[in-house]
Amino acid sequence: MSSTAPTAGFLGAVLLAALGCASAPVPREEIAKAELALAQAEAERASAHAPLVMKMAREKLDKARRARDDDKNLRARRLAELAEAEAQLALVEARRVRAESAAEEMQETLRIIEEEIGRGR
Amino acid sequence: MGAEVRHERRVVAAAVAFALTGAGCATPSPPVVEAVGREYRATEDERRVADNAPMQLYEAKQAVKRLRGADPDDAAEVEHLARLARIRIDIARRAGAALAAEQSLTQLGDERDRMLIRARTVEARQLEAEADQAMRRARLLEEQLSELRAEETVRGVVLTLREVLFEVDRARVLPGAEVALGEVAAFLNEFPERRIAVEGHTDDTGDGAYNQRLSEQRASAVAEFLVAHGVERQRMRVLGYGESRPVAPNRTASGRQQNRRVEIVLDRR
Repeated sequence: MSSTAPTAGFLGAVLLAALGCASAPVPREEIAKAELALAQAEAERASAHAPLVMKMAREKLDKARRARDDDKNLRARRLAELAEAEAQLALVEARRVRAESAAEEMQETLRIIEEEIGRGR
Repeated sequence: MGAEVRHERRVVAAAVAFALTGAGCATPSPPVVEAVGREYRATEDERRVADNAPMQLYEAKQAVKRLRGADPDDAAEVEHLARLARIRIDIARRAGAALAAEQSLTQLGDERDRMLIRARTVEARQLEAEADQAMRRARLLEEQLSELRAEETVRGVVLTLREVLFEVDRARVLPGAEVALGEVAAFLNEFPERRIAVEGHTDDTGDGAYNQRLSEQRASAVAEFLVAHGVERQRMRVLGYGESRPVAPNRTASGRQQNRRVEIVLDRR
């Protein structure tokens, strides 16, 4: 194998990456899915329990839109996909934290009731 | 919050690991792909995830598949798909935990309801036991004292004091009645948390207004005696009903005699 071919391929890939791969389609669907996921997470107030992940998700969506506006569609697609995934992560994390806290509180309630029965005058 | 930092760190670690393997070199299967594959399989093995979050697990599986299908020479895409797959795996894990906690919550809720029922039952039994105790004591009193009759009603234990306790047409308690009333005071103080009603009644002979006043005075006299014998005034309400609540027909002498009475009620709690 000649030593120039992989180098040329590599340089080509770098060039394409630098151009933001303008041949990629506008990631409308990916951005829409990210927006939906963020809206669902916001509706369930996921930022209350997973503020950092929500922040990251929102930032990525903003960057995705800007990249799309800049015709950097590949970059935009990737950012949108990550934004969607992170929004869903925030949502499930918020659910987990809430459910586990509620379960703990319920345990405490049971303990108190048990005591009252035991104390039973 | 620690979980989020872990997420960020994982993302950075993936990027670093990837950079170290040499972006763009024609490696058949980048190490990160194998690493993510292992992480997925570990998650798939977690019962909590497999049982509770099959959909999220499926999404993670699809993401790993997509990662495996990526061109190993396309470093950026591999890195991107690895990040994505790791997030999906994380989602599956947390969804498993969330659903497990929610199920636990439901079971705990049922347990709480059962316990509350038990607690109420225990309480109800205790109240019944106390009510029984009061009635038993009252019956003893009845056996001892001819001037008194004891009965259990919806209101509580009702002691009926016959009119022999009073001078005819007067509201003063006769000296002979003091023993009986003393016993009644002692009985009432055995149940100090319960409220008491002292109620005077007459037959229908004579003026209605006069009977009303007489019944009030007699109730008052009994109440004063009880207070003097240690029963707390705040527990008592003292009322006269005049002729308005007969317990027997007023046309016979014995009926009228029954109507001339004072009732002491030990409230149900």
